[in-house]
Amino acid sequence: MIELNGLNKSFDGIKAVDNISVTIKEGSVFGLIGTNGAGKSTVMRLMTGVLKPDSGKVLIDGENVYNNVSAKSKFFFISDDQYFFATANAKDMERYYSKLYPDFDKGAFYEYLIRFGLDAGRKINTFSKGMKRQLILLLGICANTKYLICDETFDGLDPVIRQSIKSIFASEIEKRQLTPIIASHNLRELEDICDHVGLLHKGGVLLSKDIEEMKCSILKVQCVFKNDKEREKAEKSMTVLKDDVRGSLHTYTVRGTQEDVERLFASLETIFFEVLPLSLEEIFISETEVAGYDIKKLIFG
Amino acid sequence: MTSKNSFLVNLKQNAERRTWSILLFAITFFFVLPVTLMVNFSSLIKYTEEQFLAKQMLNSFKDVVAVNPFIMAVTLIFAIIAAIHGFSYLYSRKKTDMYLSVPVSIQKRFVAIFINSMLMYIVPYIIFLVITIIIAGTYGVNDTYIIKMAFVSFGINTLFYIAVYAVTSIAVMLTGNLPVTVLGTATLLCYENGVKLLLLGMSSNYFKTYSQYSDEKFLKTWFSPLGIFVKFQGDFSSALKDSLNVMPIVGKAALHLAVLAIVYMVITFLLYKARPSEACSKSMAFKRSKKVIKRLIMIPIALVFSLFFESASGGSLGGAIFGMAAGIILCHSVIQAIYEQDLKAAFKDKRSIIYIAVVAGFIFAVFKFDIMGYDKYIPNENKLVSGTISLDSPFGNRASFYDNEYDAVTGDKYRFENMNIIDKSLLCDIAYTASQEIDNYTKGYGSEENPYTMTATMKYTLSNGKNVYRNIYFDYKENEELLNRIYADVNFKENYIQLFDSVFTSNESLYEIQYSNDFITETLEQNKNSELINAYKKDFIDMSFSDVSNTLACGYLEMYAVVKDENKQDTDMDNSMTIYYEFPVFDSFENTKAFLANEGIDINQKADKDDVFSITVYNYEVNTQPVEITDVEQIGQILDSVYSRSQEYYSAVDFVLNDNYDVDITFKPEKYNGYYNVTCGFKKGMVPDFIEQN
Repeated sequence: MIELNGLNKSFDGIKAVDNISVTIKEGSVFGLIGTNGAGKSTVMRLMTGVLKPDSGKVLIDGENVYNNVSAKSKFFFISDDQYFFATANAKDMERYYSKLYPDFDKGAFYEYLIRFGLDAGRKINTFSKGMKRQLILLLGICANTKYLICDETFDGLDPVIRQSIKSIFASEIEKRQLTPIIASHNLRELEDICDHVGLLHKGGVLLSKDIEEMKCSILKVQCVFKNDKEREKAEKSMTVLKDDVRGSLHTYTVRGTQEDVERLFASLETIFFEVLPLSLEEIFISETEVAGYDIKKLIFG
Repeated sequence: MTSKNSFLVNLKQNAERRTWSILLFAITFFFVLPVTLMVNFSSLIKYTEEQFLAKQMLNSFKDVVAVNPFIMAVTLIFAIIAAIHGFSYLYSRKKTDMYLSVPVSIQKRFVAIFINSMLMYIVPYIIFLVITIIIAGTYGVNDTYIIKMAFVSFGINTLFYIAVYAVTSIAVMLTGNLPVTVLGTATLLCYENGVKLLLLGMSSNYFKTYSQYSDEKFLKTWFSPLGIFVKFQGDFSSALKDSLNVMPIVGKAALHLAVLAIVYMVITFLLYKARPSEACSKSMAFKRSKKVIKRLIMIPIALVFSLFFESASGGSLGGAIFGMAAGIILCHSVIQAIYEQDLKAAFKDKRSIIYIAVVAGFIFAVFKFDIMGYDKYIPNENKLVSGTISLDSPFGNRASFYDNEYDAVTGDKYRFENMNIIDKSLLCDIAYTASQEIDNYTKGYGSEENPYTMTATMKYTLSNGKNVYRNIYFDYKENEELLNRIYADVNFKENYIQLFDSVFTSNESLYEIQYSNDFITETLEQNKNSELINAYKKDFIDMSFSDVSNTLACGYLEMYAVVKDENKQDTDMDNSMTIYYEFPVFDSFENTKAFLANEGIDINQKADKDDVFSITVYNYEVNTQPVEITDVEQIGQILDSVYSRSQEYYSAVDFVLNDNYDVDITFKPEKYNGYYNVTCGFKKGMVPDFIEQN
């Protein structure tokens, strides 16, 4: 388990991370979402012990990560701009990492290289950006660490490769309880892979929730009431996060289970009603708007 | 964990990352050692005569492997490169992300970088040194001592390398990018010596009693490996040249460099641990150090500017203040712009400007207005152990002094090392007198207002082992009693000239002694040296200031001997040398006069007018054409009123010859087997009328 407790970090008086507390459970995929400058990379660098927090703690399986080799041996960090040794090839990098990570699976690494069409003997500085990303992801996966911490790692990967990587992730999660932690500015990129999402904004966590839980607890209801009395009755009985009215058609975003909502509307006099599931994007929009943020601006620009 | 493995892989990876440095070091050593030797040898074989070849080749071998100045330069540059390159990952965010996230302890990474930095210097150096020695051997140049010195040199160069490496590493840890690191390294290496030179410059500029001898201990470098090594190289080369025992010099420097290297490496490691990784690409790594470093740099620069502008404006206070203000603003702007990497930030942190102005202004005032009373220094009699009085006259300028190796030294240096006057009240009285008279200095000593100036350099040895040096000035007319007290001190007398010293007495029998007053020169019998010297010593000890205060020397004893310098082993060089002394004879020296009279020498004898061929008189006051006088009567008159310039060298303090005239006396060739000239001057008020009229 990775625990971030009351984490703070400032650069030259500018607060980059503001009192963040997040818990990342093992065996799940954690997505960290935020716009550019939201503090994702700083959180990642704090999480991996690259940066020392001004205050607060980062614990990896109960161990403080900063300057701690034991804690660092439990994860592999892929930064947003990964460094490879000058003139090194994939083989050289494997040699380096396999010495640092004793469980490094060399066999799997070379198999993956073939599968992804990467030449083990070719100098990395001749690789494209996407190829470099693939290579570092493969190195990270084959390091066989408990946690794989990726900062904007899926950017620059084509959909096919992205899907392949995701399937490797899935298999590793199943096989050995790998816990990938992925930071991205793109919510859609993480939607189909993350179990848990943390939303960062201006250095703080706006929300951190389990995706399934969120999906189950927020619903969209479209309805045409027979009269205003019925509408008022409905609105009083629900936790309405958002109400969109077009003519007589009300579209509510409400908190609650599907059963409860259906039961409520069945008891009311309506011309029409329908309960609809929300996409992750819509859930985020609703949740953050409640908190007073315009999520469309935050996540989708 | 695979701790050993991770360390080795880190070591290997670090070495791979530094391939170009390793190659550069190896190639450079290849050229600096074997290639240089072979080029030198082939040139010597081509152009040197057979009989000198072996010796020249041996010298060349020594120069290449033991005292090679290129190796010093290379070592300095390599140490800087090794440290910067070794820790260069700290400048890059993507590198720090990688290196700091992998499971390698910072201690191991630090040690791996250090070991590789050492190996990349030591391995090529030692390999090419051995190759060079083998090459020299194939030419028949084989000298165990030089080979030993080559390895001694290798050892001390390595220590210098480590110390500079450590200093540069500190600069790397304190900064965040390459240009600032280079500036920081230069500052750390030169700061101590720079500040000391500035303080000495200010002392000599503002303090009237400042003596250059104060510099000797003050200028000793304590913290800069560069300063220590430059001094060592000078001492080591001259000791090797003179075939002296170099080990004490080497041991001292090695210990000093080793201590510095250890201390600086510990500081580097602590900074390395504390350095925030987000410092990459910034100017300074630690926020707290920014102001301290800025202020430490700005204060001396402000003072340098004030000195420069004060001097450029002819010593005006306004010039100094303007210079200081300009220095502060300029330096502050540059440093701020570097810190913030933004020209617009040049005038940020105005508080520092005020702080520096106050501190630099205070330091300036301390020197300029002598707030601490430097010029009025009087030692505390209770803390005073002994002292030296190096009076500049009447014997100061012409006397010769030699150290134990027969190297010429200054009179001041000789006296400071040998004279220990323990009459504390005398020393304090001198200091008191000088402190009372220092204000007259501004009127100009030796000027018409203060014509009776005597100067001396004082050394006060205090009970804490400290030596305090001062140049003092006082009026000898008003302080005749004090001067007589000085002259009555036996320790003063016995160390004022070197006649009483073992360097002289151990070679007394070797000396050939002549008496001369320029007009006559008489050689004395060598078997009577002791008798003459004893007579002279007695006269000298008995001499009071009053005895000689108003007279010129009658003449002087010239003593010279050819001695062998046993320390000089170099067979190629002539190790014999002539040492030479002159000691004046005054009219009050009864014993010496009696001895010389016994030998048939009239110490006051001048030329016979009939022996003079002509006299040429130069008048510099009116700058007329020189007048040549051949009339025997006029020659006679001139001879009665002139003294040789040599006599003037030993004149008592207020007895100088008229500077407006030079009188050249040319003797007839039959007198001295050729034309012989004596340069003389007239006594003041004794210029013959016919000269003045012409």
